[in-house]
Amino acid sequence: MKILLLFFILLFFLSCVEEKKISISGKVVKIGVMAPLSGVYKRFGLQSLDGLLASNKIYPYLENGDKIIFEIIDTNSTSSGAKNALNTLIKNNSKIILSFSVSNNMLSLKEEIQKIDIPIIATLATDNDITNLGNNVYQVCMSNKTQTLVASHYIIDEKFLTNVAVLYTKKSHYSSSLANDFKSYFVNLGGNIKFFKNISSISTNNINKILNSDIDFVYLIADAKSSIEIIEKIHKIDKNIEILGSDGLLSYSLQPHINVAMVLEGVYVVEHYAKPTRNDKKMKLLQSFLMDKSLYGSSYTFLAYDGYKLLIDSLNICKDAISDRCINVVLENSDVVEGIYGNFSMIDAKVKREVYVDKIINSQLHKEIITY
Amino acid sequence: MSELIYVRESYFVYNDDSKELIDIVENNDFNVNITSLYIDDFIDNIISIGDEITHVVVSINEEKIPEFLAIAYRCNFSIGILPLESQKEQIKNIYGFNNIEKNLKIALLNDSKAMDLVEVNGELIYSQGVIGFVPLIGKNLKKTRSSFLRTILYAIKKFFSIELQKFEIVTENGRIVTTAGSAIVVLNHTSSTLLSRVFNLKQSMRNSEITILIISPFSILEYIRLLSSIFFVKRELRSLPESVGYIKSKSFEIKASKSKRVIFEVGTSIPLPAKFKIIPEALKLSASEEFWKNNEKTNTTKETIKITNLPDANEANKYMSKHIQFFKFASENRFKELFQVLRQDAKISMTFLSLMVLSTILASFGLFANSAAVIIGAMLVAPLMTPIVSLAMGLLRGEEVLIRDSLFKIFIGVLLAIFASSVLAYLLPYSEITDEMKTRINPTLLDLGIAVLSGIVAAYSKSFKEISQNLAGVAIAVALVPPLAVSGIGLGYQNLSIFMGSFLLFFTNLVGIILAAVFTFQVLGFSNVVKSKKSIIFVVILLIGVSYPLYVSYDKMIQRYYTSSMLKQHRFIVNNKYIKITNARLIFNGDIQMLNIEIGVRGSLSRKDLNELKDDIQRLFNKKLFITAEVKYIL
Repeated sequence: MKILLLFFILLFFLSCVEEKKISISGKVVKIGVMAPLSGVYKRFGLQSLDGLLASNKIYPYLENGDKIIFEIIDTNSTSSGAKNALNTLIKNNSKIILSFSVSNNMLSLKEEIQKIDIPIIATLATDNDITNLGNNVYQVCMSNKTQTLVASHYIIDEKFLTNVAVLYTKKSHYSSSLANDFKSYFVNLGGNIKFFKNISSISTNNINKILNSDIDFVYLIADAKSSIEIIEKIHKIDKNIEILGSDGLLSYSLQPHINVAMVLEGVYVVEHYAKPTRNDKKMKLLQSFLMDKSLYGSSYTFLAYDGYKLLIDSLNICKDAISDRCINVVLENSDVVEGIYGNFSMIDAKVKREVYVDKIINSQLHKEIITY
Repeated sequence: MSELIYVRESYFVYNDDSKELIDIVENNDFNVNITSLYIDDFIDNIISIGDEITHVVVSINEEKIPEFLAIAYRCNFSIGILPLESQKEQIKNIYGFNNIEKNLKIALLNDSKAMDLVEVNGELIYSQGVIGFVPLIGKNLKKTRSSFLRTILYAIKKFFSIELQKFEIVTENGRIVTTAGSAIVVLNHTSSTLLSRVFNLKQSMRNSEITILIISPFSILEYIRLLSSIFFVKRELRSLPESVGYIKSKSFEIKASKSKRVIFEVGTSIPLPAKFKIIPEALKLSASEEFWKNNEKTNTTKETIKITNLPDANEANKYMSKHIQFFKFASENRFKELFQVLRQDAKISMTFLSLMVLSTILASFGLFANSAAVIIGAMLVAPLMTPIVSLAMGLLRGEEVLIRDSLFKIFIGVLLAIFASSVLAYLLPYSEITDEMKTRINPTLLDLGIAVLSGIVAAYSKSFKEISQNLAGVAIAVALVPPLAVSGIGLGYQNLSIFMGSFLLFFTNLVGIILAAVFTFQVLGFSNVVKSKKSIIFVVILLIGVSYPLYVSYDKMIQRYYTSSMLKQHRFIVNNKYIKITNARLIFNGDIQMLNIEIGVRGSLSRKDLNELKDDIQRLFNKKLFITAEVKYIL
């Protein structure tokens, strides 16, 4: 009995051993954040910001005790807004810039970026050329090329299907560039693109026509609202046709306050995360921060966390000699960064991370295939 | 219908609890002249009034009853009883009513019949007596819920302190019974007692005999079973439980090795050795017709002795002052036939040697031919199970001869099997390792689980005659010869890892079967009274000896499973090339972990691609792996 008591006391003390304690230096490190907090991509920006602020609560200090503070500038979801935001952050001496801007807004910053060495971590811009904007730009989300590869091989090599209809939004840079990348790669693999349609000009008749032709699969590359409308129309005609959605766009729709669960049931998605989510301390903390504000995690939230963690790790490696050069070298090729959903690394400024093909079952993303 | 006749006069003896009955009794409707006396006054004045008393209606508490009965017996007056509120349950069968008027009517009837009394060392008793310790049976249980629960919990605690003692019982006819038990219950000679009803002892107050019940549980489990049959089985038992015996005689002389006194329900006690004697027709009682129907007069001189379930004199000496264990134990006499068979099984015979060689050769051919059917055939004719079961029994009972013989037989059998199969492997011109062989070189804890279950079945089937001794399923499950044959083949191939792996499987099976059989025999009640420490140490060493390598092996199996399933679920993108791993096998070679993978890919892979894939895999598992790959192209 005594031994048992001693064991529990020991266990109690062991459980109380604190993690490495940081002695606060009193200094601050300012991180610039350019986010679309208004305009068409407002939702992306706000959810990313949730992830950023939650992750800052988990890691408020660097290992040397410097406090991380943010200067957040709204890009208004426009290229000009992004330019203004970047210039303001440069002017105010941000050490690193986190960008939650989408690809076309980021691509418009080429001229400004090439003039500076300040590291810029892009969490949402998926364009293949984002890292070509300068030697100081890093991509934390998967690129269109990766998504194309995963989608194409999933359809051909995993589902053994070849006849595909691609439905996209022409006016969206992300959607149209991804659709074009997919088209060329998929055909190169031996697949057939039977339909390649802009959904803004698509009618129910068109959908009827598509489904009545000889197609096996629909690849739907559109924002959540348009995707849900199309999926509803497709299911009214043919419930059995399989649909693949693109990253992030549908995960927002699975938030508990959005009642579209039945519409999305059975749809596949190429995603940055899957259920079940990691059951570790960091994930629980992040989720509790989000829950406190009645917020819910999505791809954008998790990507913001990962971007922030990459940033923290690189600043910690560079320690007191924080310089653009040191941080750029570390960010260019980082070995293992402990992300919120899984470890990732940076190779040649691009992320190397797990990407999932998920299936939506009971309003949750269940992994079918993990791509590394 | 004949007219009922009542006594002309009677005394009414009461106490504090029954004095309110005085009015009712004195003003009875049956014209009986009543003289009421307080019990203490009645006893004090008995000398002066004894001669004139012909009938007494009594309503007193239990402590005073023996004294009152003694007086009634001496003064030869008849009695009627008016039960107190607290006695109604116990005495209701005398009258059958809870109604005072009706009971008084019977108590005053001039129709008394003589009933027997029991005298112990010269003192009259009327309640149940207990010699020894029998939790829950010996004493009346209280009715209130909390004290009932407390009594049960106390009794359960006491189960573990039940011990057997030696009893010597001499009957009226001079028959001497020596046995061991935890207690003797001298039953109140009425059919109303719980025990006499449950065990269907057909007691009567007028049969001129005493019944003693000897409770001799060999294990706590058996005692619990006895209790459940007493308290939870509503109907009478058709046969006596294993742990109970009884004797009926006109008198007993009882000696106990440990107990000093007989304790009676009413709280009194009488020292041992004690002489119990029936006094026939000692007391005249007025009771209901139904009561007399249940207590008809019989006069038998025959004694009844039912003690086949109890230990004999020799066993009694062994069991004396031993606490009973949770599981049953037994002397050899109880299972003579089984032990003879097991001793025979432990001895080497030509049949054993021949069957061992033949079954090994058969198993070896089956292994070479990769034929499960032939291997199963070999399992069926393999004779190794019998000495293993004998060894288990030897270990349980600490019988050195049985252990030595069976160990020797197993050792010779194993040597023969390995020799035969290694010679065969050496002589055969090829050294292919078939799938049937591969499945027998990586034992895990799962194999120990299979072996344990096989051992249980083997021991169980051996213990019961009605189960076929040659159960095919048991022989197949035990599967001792095939791993031995693979060990021999490993030696023949001069491949130590095959030998070690399959011998570990054999050893796992062996240990598992032994342990399970030991446990099963113990549960079935074959363990000896005296525990053999050497045997226990041997069994523990065996268990520890086999557990570690099996744990390591099991851990490796889990790692292999996770590595394989993780790699099969992952898709790798290397330099923009999509790669599927269609099959993966992790091999442990000392400290080195080798990973054999089959890759599915559309285009060709360069050295750079393969290096990157290797880095990705190692990053995924966070450890260094030696990776070999076969590439399959997806068309």
